[in-house]
Amino acid sequence: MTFAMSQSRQPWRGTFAAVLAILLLAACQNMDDTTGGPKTAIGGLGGAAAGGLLGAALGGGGTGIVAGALLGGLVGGAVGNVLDQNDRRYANQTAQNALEKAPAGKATTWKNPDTGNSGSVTPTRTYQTSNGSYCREYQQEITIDGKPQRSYGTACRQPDGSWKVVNG
Amino acid sequence: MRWFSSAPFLAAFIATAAPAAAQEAFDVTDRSHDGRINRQEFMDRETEVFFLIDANKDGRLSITEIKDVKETQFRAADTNGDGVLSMEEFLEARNIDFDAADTNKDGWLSRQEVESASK
Repeated sequence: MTFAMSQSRQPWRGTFAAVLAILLLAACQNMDDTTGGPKTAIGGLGGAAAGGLLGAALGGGGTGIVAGALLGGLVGGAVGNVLDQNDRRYANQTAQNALEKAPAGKATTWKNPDTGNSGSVTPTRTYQTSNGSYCREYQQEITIDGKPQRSYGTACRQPDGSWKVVNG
Repeated sequence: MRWFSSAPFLAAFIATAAPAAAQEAFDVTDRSHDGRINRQEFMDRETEVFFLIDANKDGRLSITEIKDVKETQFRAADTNGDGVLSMEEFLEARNIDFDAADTNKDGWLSRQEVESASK
């Protein structure tokens, strides 16, 4: 008797299993839709990627001076001639740091306590050349004897990680 | 003991630092300072983002360089399937993200739309 009842339920079990599978599949699809959500349209990275839609979590920049490769050229011309060796060292290291790490619009500053001279470097725009290397336009302000002087230029990142002025 | 005494301060700092960073990012992106972001301002900022998160500065982004990206989305954005995102691929994906974030479809992103999309 028991055996007969069991046999008679087999078709129901198959149907139940099929319905369950369909429901689970639908649930999984709904979960994907939910987790993907309308914000993550096909082809997009999703607003949370890369530190938020505008990269708010990136940080970067800063006002400190870091040790690093020292390149001549980022501070030049008449202003460069007026600065002493330490001023130029501060200015160049700050420029390297700003170009490497600071977001556009964020100033990185320096000040030489011995001379009182100071300055800042602010990247203003970033672009990539056809060979994939980075270039950044920047604004530089140097204050000598209390008189600020502003200049603009473009520097490109070299394979060794240093930045070289290409127009400034 | 010092840990316990500093924990509330750290929690408060973390709670306030994130909105401040989001506000700063919005202000930096909003170059016209009109309180909203148009597509050009957005794409300029995303070019910056690409540069800043390209840790090895090789001009391409691997999946490990992009924080909080889903693998399926990374693959979808990687249109040539080479396993990395070029600047062009990244910007194209972000262009789509702009459309998704612009919920009222007015062509601008408000602070609220950016905040909602970034969650």
